[in-house]
Amino acid sequence: MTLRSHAPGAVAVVVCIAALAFAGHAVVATPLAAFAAQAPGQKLLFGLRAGLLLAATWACAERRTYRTLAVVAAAFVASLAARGLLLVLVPAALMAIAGAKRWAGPAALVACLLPSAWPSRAANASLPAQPAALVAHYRARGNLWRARDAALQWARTEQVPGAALLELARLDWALGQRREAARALGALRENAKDASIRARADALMRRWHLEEHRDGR
Amino acid sequence: MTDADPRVVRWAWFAAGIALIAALVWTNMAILGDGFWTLATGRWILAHHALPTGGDPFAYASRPGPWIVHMPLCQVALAWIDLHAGLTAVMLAGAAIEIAAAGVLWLGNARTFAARVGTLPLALWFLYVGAGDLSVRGQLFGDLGFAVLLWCMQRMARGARVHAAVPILLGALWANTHPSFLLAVALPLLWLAVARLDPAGERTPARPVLLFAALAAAGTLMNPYGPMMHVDVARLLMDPTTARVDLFESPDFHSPLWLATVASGLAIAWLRLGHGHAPRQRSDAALLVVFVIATCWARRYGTLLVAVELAVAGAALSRRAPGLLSRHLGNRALLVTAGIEVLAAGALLSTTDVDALRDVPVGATRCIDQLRLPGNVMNPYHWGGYFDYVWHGTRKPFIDGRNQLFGNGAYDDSQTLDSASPGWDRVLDIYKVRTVLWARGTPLDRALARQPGWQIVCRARLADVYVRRAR
Repeated sequence: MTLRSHAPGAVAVVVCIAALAFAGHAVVATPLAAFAAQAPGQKLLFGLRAGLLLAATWACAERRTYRTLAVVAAAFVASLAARGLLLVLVPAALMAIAGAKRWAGPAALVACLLPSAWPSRAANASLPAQPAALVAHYRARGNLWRARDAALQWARTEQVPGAALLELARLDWALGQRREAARALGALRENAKDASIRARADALMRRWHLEEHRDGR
Repeated sequence: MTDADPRVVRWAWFAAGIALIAALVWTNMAILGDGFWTLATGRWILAHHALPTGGDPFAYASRPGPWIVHMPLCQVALAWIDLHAGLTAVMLAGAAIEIAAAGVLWLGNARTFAARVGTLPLALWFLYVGAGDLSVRGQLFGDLGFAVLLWCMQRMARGARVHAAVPILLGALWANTHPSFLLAVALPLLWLAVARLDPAGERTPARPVLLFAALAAAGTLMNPYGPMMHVDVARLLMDPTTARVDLFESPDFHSPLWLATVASGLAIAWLRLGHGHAPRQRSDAALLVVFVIATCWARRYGTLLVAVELAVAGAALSRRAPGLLSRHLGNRALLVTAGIEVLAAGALLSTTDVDALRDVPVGATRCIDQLRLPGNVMNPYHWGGYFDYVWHGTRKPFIDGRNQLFGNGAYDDSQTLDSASPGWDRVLDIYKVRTVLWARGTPLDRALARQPGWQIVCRARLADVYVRRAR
């Protein structure tokens, strides 16, 4: 027996300890709860479970230690029913992996941990603070209703009808609310102080009349 | 009884097994929300003689822009059956597809009578695991495609030939009936990868499997959108909303059903390794472990796991001495079990409610139409498909099961309403909702009942309908 022959097992132990340390309190929080990969802090522990199962299966198949494999499998299933039993699975699997001479087991462990350590894409990344940017953000996401609401909040802050009301009119038109859109444009043409805004409102009105004419209204 | 011709007895047992499978499928078959938007889409295609090229014709909160229809052949076929024979015929068609999938998994891999006796419980388990989600929709075709794929893999593993037309046809049909068609390429490649674990003389020959994967890939391109379908399906898989659909979350491991499913996969893997006959012990075990892990991630893969269990167990038992179990299975035992199967099938069928509309809010929807309640209508995610079907786009629901169209924030807003989380009333204002149809007894139902700004106008079997009071 040499240090070199124990290296794969040692690496597996170090990787496991690092994963557990990284997972932090998620390891022991609500120990009787059922495992769910999507629960907070559990994604990394899913990777750990997967890696340990694969690595232990490989090691036991190599060494034909099927009783050990049965223990690991039972611990795996138990750790799904009660999260806290991960602390039973880890030593059981490491005992199976530790004696293996090949690197395939630890490699499988690392391969499972890496993607699960990758941060998930945030469903709601931070929203722009600037009103015009917020409207553009929702337009880009394809949610015209939220874009319209953002434009409405923006328009309420304008002292004089301006860019916000123009944006609101456009969004109302896109959502099929033509009467509201026409009302907003009318207010802009009468009361907007900025000549370019009035010109753009005029241009929109002409374009919409053409569209309505084409639609047969 | 014990002197009867063994062949007749076996056929009787076999027929009873098929009857039990059919009864289990029929008892659990339904048309849920997804089934209804499938039918609605098919109807639209049949009415317009074309695929939709503009935006979504059904829901008002979907993202604008072109919509890629993922299952055109499935949608058109089921809609055609609905138009000509009604919803019960649609349910029958769906049941036939799922029975065929279970049949291919069971009989295609278990080639001896003894193996079939041994794996019938797994075939029934395959159906039982997926029972809660069993609905007439593209997934039935996905199940059938996966069953055929596993059968092909087992044939090639035995050294038998699979005609070149099979993967092409499989890929083409699968790509036009369910988004899981990428498995037609992924599973053969996975099969080859795990085959490396077996000793050199026992491995599945690589060339036929690679050729199969290539031909299947070519077949999947035979869809109306070509490679754009693959891109859109990959986008759907990666979409954050997909990960939050309950089918793609971990199963409830406090349920014995799911613990038993995972345990049975590991048990079969262990038996193959420790007590199995060569060849392919290690690759079979590895394949099972991969699908066990996938099931722990998402409930959706649970039925695939049991399908793999069936394929592995059926093939392994078929390789044992054919007479091994048969020697212990006398006529009496077979007739008794056949009798039990028939009784079980009868019991299941006697409790079956065949109403295709039992799971959707028919009464509440009718109330909205009769009272001509104002739009926009807010609805729960899982019923959206039914409104697509009933209203044909003349009135539009907020959301339905095509979650790839609602990753613009609408799905998140739907979840806020589902739990009546803080800000739910703002969501109704943002989308200018004037009518809400929601499931009875849910948090939002209770919250609306307490709100002075909302008035209940209908109370039906499954849902309540509220309208916004004039300000």
